[in-house]
Amino acid sequence: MSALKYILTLAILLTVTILQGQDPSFSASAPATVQAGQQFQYTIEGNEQGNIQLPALEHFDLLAGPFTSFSSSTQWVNGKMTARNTASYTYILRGNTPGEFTIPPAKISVKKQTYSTNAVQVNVTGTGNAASSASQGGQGGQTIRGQADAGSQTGNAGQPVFLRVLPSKRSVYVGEQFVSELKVYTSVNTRPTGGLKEVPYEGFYKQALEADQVSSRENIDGKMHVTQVLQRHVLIPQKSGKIVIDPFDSEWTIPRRVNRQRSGSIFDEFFDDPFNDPFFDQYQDVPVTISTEPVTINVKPLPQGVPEGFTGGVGDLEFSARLSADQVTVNDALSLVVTVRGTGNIALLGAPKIDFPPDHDVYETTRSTNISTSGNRVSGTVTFEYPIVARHAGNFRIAPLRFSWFDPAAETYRTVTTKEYTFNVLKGEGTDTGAQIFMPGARGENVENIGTDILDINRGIPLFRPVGITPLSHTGYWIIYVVLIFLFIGSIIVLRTWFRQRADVRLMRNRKASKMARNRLRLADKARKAGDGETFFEEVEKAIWGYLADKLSIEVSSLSRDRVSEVLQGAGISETLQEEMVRIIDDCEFSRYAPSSEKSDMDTLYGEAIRLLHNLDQNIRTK
Amino acid sequence: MRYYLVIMLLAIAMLVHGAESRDSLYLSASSAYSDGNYELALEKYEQIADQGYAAPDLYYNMGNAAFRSNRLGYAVLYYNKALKLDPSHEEAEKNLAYVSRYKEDQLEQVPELFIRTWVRSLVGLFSVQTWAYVAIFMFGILLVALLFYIFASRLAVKKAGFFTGLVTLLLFLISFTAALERNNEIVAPDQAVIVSPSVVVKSSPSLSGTDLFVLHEGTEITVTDQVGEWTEVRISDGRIGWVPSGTFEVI
Repeated sequence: MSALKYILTLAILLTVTILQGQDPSFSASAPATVQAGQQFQYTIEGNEQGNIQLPALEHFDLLAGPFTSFSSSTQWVNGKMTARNTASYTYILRGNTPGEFTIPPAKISVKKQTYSTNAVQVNVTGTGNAASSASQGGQGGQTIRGQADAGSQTGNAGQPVFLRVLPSKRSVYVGEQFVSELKVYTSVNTRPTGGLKEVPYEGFYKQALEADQVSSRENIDGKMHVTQVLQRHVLIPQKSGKIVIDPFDSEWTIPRRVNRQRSGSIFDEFFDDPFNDPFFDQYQDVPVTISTEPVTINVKPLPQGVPEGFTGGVGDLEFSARLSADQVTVNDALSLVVTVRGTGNIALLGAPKIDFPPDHDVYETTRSTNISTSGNRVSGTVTFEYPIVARHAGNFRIAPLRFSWFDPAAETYRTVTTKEYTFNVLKGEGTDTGAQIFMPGARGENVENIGTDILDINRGIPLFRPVGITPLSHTGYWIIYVVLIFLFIGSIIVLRTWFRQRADVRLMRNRKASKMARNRLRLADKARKAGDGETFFEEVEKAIWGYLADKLSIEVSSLSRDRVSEVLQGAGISETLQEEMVRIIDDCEFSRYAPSSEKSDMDTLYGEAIRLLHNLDQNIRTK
Repeated sequence: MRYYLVIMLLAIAMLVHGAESRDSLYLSASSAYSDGNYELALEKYEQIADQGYAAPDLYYNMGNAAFRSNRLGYAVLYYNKALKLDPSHEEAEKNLAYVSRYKEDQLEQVPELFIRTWVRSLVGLFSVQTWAYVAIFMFGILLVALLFYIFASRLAVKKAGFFTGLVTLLLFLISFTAALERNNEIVAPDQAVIVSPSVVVKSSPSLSGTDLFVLHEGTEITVTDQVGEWTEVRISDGRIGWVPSGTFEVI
């Protein structure tokens, strides 16, 4: 006990000595443990104002500061006056990488003197570990809370201010609308510094709804908080995937109690508590940056099997269309008006593609959108107007329109098909010939390909044949060949026989020709001797004709005086012999019918005929 | 006698009835096609083909219906079948060229010897029927010319017989060979079309074979060999590999 007293006294003495000099002293403080990526306060406090030179912050980002506060007080304690100044410099820092780091001493220059603070040890933990779990709340186990790191080290409000982004759904389809709220939870009297900006909600189409006008109370982790929805938006995701709503920073002003300064008296150092009257506590408005936690929205892509006529519509939609007129004259405009109304991503809807009859001028589609928010939903009407100008008279039709959209409630696509639209284009007045193209020198138009497609089917009933049966697989086909070959062989046999027979007949006649001629001459000789001139000449003539006919294989009847020279020529008989023969035949003809014929004439002719036949036999050429 | 008459009448009635049902099927298929009911149209056309009857126009229409039902492979198959029956079917040729643009595999053709192309186009000029009848006609003329050559007594006729015989012999050989070739295409077809959306071509006839390349619907192939459930095929750029037998249809 006496030892303790001794030490105590020594310490007091020492302190008194130090304080007697009224030297400026500075100390630095920061939370011992912070979370990576979160802001924390680094405060330098001292009893003099000075120029602060921060040390190099290697592992921390300096986000804001210094926020300076300054106070002075004068106290009378035990008849002794203590004048006290308090200066506080607050910086907002952020640790990025987990680890155990030291913030080196900061230097403060006061009246050309430089003072140092103590070094501060800060343990930066990974993002998963919330170090200062002042308000651990949540929905469905996910970390969705925001938290104000409102200087816990000053021991002021253990009740923080924090913001949360609260989406109504965490898993939505592309284009499906949902509501997201920015809500503040506070247990202190606080207000945003300046105006509160809108949460940007990148990756979403957003439409602001009315925020709450009144605040309410909520119990979070056993502590009552005043809550108020500050912003309310309808969000429509524009692409699929995991979309993160980034932490939203906002500036808030919160009151913070300032620690009572150490008094100059040594007793104050040890016996402060009994005099720690709240009346003497000082509060000051401190700006803090409050961030929300990132919120991840899982945006599902639209299911497979997108039907024809889908233009990106998601929601509960209605579709209608009408033609502005169903009868126009050439070169007048009419328009097709397509209206989509309902609750959904009306503003993001694409214009349906419509196939207008070819040979019409289709102008740019105009679009008018009328969006209103009722309750927590965005609904409205979008109207697409397709102006078209008919260039030729006639009756035209626009094929039924198909419009499809996705119904996220039923998780199916829905399709509406309208009726077919027809319109009648009348010929204009005057010189309207149909085509009115304002192109000098151009007459008519080329036939342009509007589209290409396969040719249509053939509808006439064709001649069906059994499959896989070819002539070659029929025995009949081969039989035809066999029959042909047999016919061929048969023909050869028949023809050969016939030719042979014919050749035989000719040969015989040929051989017999001289003999027959001799027989005839013998008869003629008999007639000569009998003096029968008529028979004689007849027989001589017959002998000559007969010989020729037999020798040349021609019929006697086809031989005549006129043709004979031709025939003889073909048989290679010389001209003189031909003449000789013609003369003898002429003599015979002449003498035959002559009233008298001398015997001497007959003798001469007989001799000549024998010679002629001999010469013919020598010279004739048979085939 | 009366008995035979009854049988004959019955046979004729059955034939006529068969033809009628084919015709009415064809008409209802065509009207289904006109109504945009392409699947149904294809089904009905297929019923006719299943009866064992065919016509170039039938296959042509089937090709159209298949293309409209998004079955590219079958469209290519049926157009090819139509062209096989009638090589001069102009519409089938045009539509085949049109749908071929949608084929995923655009293969380079291995340059062919011009004489082969020439022979092929000659053979493809007529159907097997035409070639067969031309062959038999030429054969007849050849025999007659031979007779002239053998028996003519005059030299000019003999000569004419000889040369006519020579020419007709040549024509006969050509048409007969062509008929045989076309007949072979029908009896033992080796041209085929991939009908599965995609097929992995293997280096050997087993699942463990190395993957060589992937063929898609509509690609024309030549069948070269078969082992069990696997078929060796050649594609037009000359590459060879094995595919499961159910992935293609022969033309």
